[in-house]
Amino acid sequence: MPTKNAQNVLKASEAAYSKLPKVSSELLTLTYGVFIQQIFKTTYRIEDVNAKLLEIGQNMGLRIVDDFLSHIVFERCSSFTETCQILVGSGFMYFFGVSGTILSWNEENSQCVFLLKHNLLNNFVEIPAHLEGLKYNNMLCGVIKGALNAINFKVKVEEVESTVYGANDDVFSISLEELLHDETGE
Amino acid sequence: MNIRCICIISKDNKPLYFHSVTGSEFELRFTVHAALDVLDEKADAKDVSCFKGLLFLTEEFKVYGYIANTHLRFVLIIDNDDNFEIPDSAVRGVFNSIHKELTKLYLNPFFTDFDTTITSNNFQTKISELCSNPT
Repeated sequence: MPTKNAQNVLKASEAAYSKLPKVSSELLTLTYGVFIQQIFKTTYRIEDVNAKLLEIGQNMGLRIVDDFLSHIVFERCSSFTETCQILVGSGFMYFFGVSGTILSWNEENSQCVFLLKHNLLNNFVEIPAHLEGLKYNNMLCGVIKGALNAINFKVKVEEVESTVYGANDDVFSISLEELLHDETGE
Repeated sequence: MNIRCICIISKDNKPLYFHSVTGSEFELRFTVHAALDVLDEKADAKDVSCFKGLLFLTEEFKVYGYIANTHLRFVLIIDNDDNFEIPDSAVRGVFNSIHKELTKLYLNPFFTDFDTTITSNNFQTKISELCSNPT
């Protein structure tokens, strides 16, 4: 159940998203596709491409979390569950225009599975047989990982199902590995 | 309207895709070859629209043609059923759907065989669905 805080943040992020200048979604979809093709042509190994996408996503995530927090002001989150609700619901709404929905949590509340409908990055994409194993959404996983890293959560984010392989919607899982502590500078 | 065959040919007359529903594939391919000549004549005409209409009739089939602006040719073969008058708009609809599916295929960033036969499973499923359900 999303907390009151999370619901308020969702409304604020929807309002903020509607004021942002927009770009054609096909431009984004096609650029992303060609981008992945190019990375593949540098190494020709699928594991390298997946790792590179995750790294790129992490670099993005580190920076956009500050952007999000500066535009949408809200109270501190009280728990990891609340943080994930805000990230999945409002974070995606603010940057992507679609809100994710959390499907389930595990018993200790350290792992959640969420669904992203209408992921436009995957529009028209069909992975050919020789690229089986390519994690097309790995950049999004990296963004979440980088963003949570910046607020001291060390997580593992993976895509569980993807529309490029024929599933109906994209499903991701976020697992909390450990809480990082701020390092004091020397 | 019973669709018997859908064929897509590139501008250099290379066959990109051939899908036949039932019946003798050999005969259908022969008919498509014959249709290409008629389509060539119509291509030179001053008519600007993509839909080239009924190309010719045989005892069993009605053959329709369509040339996209990129000079890609589509040939559609339908059962010749004298009882039914098939409206042009229905055939145009089928060609538009084929063109849309092809465009979606081209937008796939991993699609590279522009001049060779199309092997995508997704595309084949969509075309089979279109054949069984032309509206």
